[in-house]
Amino acid sequence: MSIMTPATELSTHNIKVLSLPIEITTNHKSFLKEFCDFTSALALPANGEPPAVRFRVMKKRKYTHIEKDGRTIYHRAEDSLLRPLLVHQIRESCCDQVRDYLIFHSAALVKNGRAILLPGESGSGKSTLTLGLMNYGYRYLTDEVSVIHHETLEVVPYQRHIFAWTWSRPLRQEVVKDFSVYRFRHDDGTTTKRWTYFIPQDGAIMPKDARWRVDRIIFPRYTTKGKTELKPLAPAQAVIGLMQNGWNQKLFPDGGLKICIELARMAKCYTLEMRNLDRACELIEGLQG
Amino acid sequence: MGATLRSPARRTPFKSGVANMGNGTVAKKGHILLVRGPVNTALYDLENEEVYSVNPLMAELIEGWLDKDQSCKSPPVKEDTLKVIRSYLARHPALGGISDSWSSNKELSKENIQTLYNQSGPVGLDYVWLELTKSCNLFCAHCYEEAGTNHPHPTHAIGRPTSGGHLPSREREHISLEQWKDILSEGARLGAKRVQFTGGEPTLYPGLMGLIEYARSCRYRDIEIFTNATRLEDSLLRQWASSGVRVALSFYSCDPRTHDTITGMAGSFRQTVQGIRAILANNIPVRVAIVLMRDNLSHLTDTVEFLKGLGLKDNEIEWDYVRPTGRGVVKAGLMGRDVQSDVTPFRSSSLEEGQGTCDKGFARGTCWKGKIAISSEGDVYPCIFARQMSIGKFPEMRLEEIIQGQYLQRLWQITLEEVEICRDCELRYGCFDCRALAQTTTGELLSRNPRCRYNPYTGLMERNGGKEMKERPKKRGDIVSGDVDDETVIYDSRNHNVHHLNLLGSVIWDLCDGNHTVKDITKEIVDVLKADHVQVERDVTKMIGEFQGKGLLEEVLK
Repeated sequence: MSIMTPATELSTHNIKVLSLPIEITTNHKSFLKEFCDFTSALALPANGEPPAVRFRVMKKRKYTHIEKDGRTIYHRAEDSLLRPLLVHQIRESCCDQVRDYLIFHSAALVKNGRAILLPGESGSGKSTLTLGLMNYGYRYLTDEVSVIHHETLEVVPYQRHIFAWTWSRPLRQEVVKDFSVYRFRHDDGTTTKRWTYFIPQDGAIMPKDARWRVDRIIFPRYTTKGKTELKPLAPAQAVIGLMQNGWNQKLFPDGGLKICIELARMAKCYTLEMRNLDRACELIEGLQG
Repeated sequence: MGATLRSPARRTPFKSGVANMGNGTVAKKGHILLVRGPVNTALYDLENEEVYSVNPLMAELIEGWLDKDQSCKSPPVKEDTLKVIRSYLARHPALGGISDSWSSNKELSKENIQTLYNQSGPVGLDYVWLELTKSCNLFCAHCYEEAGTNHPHPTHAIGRPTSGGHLPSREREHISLEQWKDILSEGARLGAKRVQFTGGEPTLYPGLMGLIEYARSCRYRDIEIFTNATRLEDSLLRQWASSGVRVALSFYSCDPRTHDTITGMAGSFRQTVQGIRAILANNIPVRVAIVLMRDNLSHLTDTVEFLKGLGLKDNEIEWDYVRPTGRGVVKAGLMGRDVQSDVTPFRSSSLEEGQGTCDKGFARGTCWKGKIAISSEGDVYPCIFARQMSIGKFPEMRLEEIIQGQYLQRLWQITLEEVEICRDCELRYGCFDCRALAQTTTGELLSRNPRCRYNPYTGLMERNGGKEMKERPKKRGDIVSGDVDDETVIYDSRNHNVHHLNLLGSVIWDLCDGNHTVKDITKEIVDVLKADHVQVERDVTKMIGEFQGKGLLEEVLK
């Protein structure tokens, strides 16, 4: 994926979002910059798979023109909504392709053949907890997108780069060694935040065709006050938590309610107030026993 | 055991900059505040004091844009991005709308919202209503204070101690001129900057001019007199003009007969019109409110034109509603909610159906914040329209004591975050709120303002506000629900909302099948639970009302 070179002419990029190979052809410089962000956050390189969807993002004089499979979906003189529009389109296309799966905004790990789901919104500590739990022998399934089959209710690995806010405590060497690690700062004028980028090496991840039954669902919430606590959660509340973190429920006539209820019945559900990462990991580890 | 229904706000992925200002999630970037409601999303531009209501698709696009801004590689927020969104919305009205009524809302600033919602200390006094007398030369059909000619003029009470032995008991209760002055000076000391002299008819109070001068000496910035304008002599108006007061009055109709019928006195129309002319001639700032009633609805537009013809400007003409207080109880009953809904667009004519917007916006919590009203008998209320909520008595209690009291402080600190339905609404940070109206209409302090026609759960303006209930409530056919243990989770595919019901709520939900009336449902529950009938019926009615409000039941066909 040679997207880092500045585009002066037409360039074609192949990426994969979820299981969907996408081809994007562009000559648009500012879009290319946004595209880099997008691919690093969401997408994987598609290695030689034929594209299922083709996008063309073209700059023609002052107009930006987007075609999806030859059909124009955008033709305007402004660029500010370009990326959200494209993300929206790609997500819609992906969701159409994965009709048999319910997708959650959730991390997933596995240990002793039992999978653990960590659903939560951005900033709740999914990625950090994922990295922390890997110190305790958990293996990485996904940290952002959990894909659950609608009949078997098994979770499918979806490995991508982990993008975590660097906590005060450095991550242990044994986790870090499984990843290529990049650190950088984000300066928005008022605050500087440090972010760390983990790219999994082959040894850290599970085989892609493996499937795992969900054994526990833990809703993490990062907190600066109070202590680190793991509390059991009523199944009905867990259903709501899962529904809130669903991405493609609109594809299911019941909004994925049945799947969520089954998941909540099958797995034990908890909420995790997380202040101290080590303590949180110990508590989760305690559940395994 | 009470029935509960909890509806978490819909969430979408790719959310960024999340801060929590109460129940809902709020994305904030610089002066842009994105508040997510159950269906629509409100975009607050705090710099230009504007609010946009946008549909879910547009919200997602804007969220994505805020998201982009979070990323380390992207440039900082562009100054002109709002312009882009604005022009985008202008070209695609279906994505959302700009509500004009908000654009002049100077109080919608970041600081105001922050102070309002993060405030922990006590609230200070800002505004005082002084009801100088209960006596009035008119007998208006809807008067909140039941003022009229049947109350004696308080002439003889002036300057005398309130415990004057020979006075009849009623007059003995009147606050004396000296006491009014005490109130004014203590109010000023406590921080009040604005005062309104009202009544009854304040010009019937002989000490009015003295009080105005006294208030001026106490450095009140804003002094207003609420009069019926029937007794304004030129000499009096000249005095008012020189002391820099403002005048407010109510007007009912351009048709003399209708006006006189409402005021209960023949000839009052002519006198009031003369009064308005005289006020304008003396260059006294004035505001005229047309009180909406069934009697004057048919010629509302003519009335506005008539007032403009007198020389009043657009911004000097306002609308007001009858509050169900005093004699207004009867009038408000006549003036049904449907009628009020019909006339609401007058208030903000640029709004269209479907664009989620409430009343004109002031980001200051409830209207009565920092205000007190003192009646001629010394009773203290949080608002002139909240007559059932006495918070103290003057002179038995000092003003300071009343203001620092827990009850009043609690009333002042109410925000829309606590009000039912409003707490889920995306427009809650900019909406005007009259607690007195809600309290007097529904009997519940934290119920939603009955005037509001916007249903945040459907994202639509509703004619009846979902208040009308089917005799046999029936759940919508496309609603999916599932049982988890003894509880129920409901999914509404129309707006992708998820609701959670406890055991009792689940039973009621199951019985909303179009075959059971509220009475039947109550009876079934009472039979099984052996619980108190009255309590269960209240729970059932409230629960079904909530189902209705959230659009979970089939609509009533008209």
